[in-house]
Amino acid sequence: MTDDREVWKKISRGNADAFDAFYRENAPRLRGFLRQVVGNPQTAEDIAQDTFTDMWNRPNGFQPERGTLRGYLFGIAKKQASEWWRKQPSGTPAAEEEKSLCRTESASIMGDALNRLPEEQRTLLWLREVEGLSYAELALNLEIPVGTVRSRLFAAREALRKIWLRKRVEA
Amino acid sequence: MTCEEAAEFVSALYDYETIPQAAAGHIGACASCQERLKEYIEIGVELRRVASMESLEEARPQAWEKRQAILSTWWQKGWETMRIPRFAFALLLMGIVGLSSGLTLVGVRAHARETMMMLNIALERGQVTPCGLSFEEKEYSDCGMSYGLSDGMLTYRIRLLSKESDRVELGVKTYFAQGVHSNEGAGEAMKSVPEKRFWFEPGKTLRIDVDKLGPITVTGEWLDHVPYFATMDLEHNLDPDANQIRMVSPILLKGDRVLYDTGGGIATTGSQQDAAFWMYVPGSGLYMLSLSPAKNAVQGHVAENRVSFEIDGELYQFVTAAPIMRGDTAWVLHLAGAHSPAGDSKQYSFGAGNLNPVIASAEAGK
Repeated sequence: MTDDREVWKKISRGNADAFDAFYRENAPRLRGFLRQVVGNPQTAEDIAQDTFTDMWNRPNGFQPERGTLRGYLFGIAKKQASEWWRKQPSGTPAAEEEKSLCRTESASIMGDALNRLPEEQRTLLWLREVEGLSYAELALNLEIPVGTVRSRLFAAREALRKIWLRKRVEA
Repeated sequence: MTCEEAAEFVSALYDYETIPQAAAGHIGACASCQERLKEYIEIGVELRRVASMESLEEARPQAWEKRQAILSTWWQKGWETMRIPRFAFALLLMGIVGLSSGLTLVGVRAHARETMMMLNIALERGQVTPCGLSFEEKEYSDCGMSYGLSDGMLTYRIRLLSKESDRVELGVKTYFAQGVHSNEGAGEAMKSVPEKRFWFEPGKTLRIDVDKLGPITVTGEWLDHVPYFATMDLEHNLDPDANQIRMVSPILLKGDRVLYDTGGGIATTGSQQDAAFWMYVPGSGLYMLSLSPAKNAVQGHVAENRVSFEIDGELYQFVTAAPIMRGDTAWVLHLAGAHSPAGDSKQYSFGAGNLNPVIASAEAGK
């Protein structure tokens, strides 16, 4: 946490080297997360770039006492991805293409199962299971109470578990 | 407790959370719940395995240009100046906040040699804006500013290119938007402005012709330190005029929490009675500081570089790097559901304007 404060202080002062190091350390994982959320590698790349650019141009809002800088970064990316989804009219070729890509790019039963979840559940599970965000960080990023994080994680796990068990039987 | 009731706690237990005693007891004795826990573990492992299969190629190289000033897009006719330098008083601000005292001017960073080229750019009506440039301090390798003049908005950027003996080579871009009193679009316009090169020698005056505006003049000298006010006209910003609000690198605190740190931005109003400074915080709303009371505004106490006020029993403070106004009383209106006067309510923003038009704009979402 102390490191995060130092890094944030440097970024806030416009230290390009500090921000570049932060970018290099986190960009690959952020892209991985966004690929899961939006399904399309190019869109994921675009959103990741927008996320870093926004953070660099407007370094506001990070509160070290409420979570990690990485959690904060993923929170911004999550919001941008949600915004992107909102702009995709359902039923349009673009939206259908993204959904289709979500389903076809996975190389495992779990990947397929994950892609069948709604975006919100997929995001929540990835941030918790893969990125290891705490309940408090998830609550902050999703703007919901910690108790709701617990119930939503449970619902997401149950949904994924049922799909996964079914697909395992089918396989 | 039934398995159905305990199921959510199985998930919480898997997440290293503590769970109620009754749930813990049930899960310990229930084969079905234990099976669910094992499946969660298996799913978690499999998810991380899938994540590991993602190609994590290195981040592609990216040039992080120093950020432009926070360019407010909203400008109210009648204001004299609103200036937002690229780099300002982060260190000073931290000193002020950390000390929790009045205005504190910390000493300069001394250098053994003269490494700082301190330019003074003369604009209209004798107004001078400084521009500190240094080869050694990376954050001072260039400077830029949007400056509201009577005929329009001037934006400039000056880069330090090279040094030869006592003189320096400057790369200068200027853009003047005639009749415009907003810096909206200035950043984009600057991209297509060609950079002109000039040699500048301390003690001499450099004249730079700005298209549609005319000449601006540059003087300067070598310094052996980086002054904290390297991008700001110190003299004209430490002593507010009558009926004027000067917000130099303002931050807004709620209790001990920072709601918004403008990181060096400056908003200076004219001297109208209905002068107002505003700050928009996404999720929290619009905060307007004014000299005259708006409907539902609360009274604030002004002490040099801070304004303290209470909303719903919570202490708020505007803290800045310089004196804010001459009087000791101001008014703060909080509009929680308002839109940003700058237009984009997802972005932090701040600016200056006339009280009622800003309120109308924020409430209308224009």
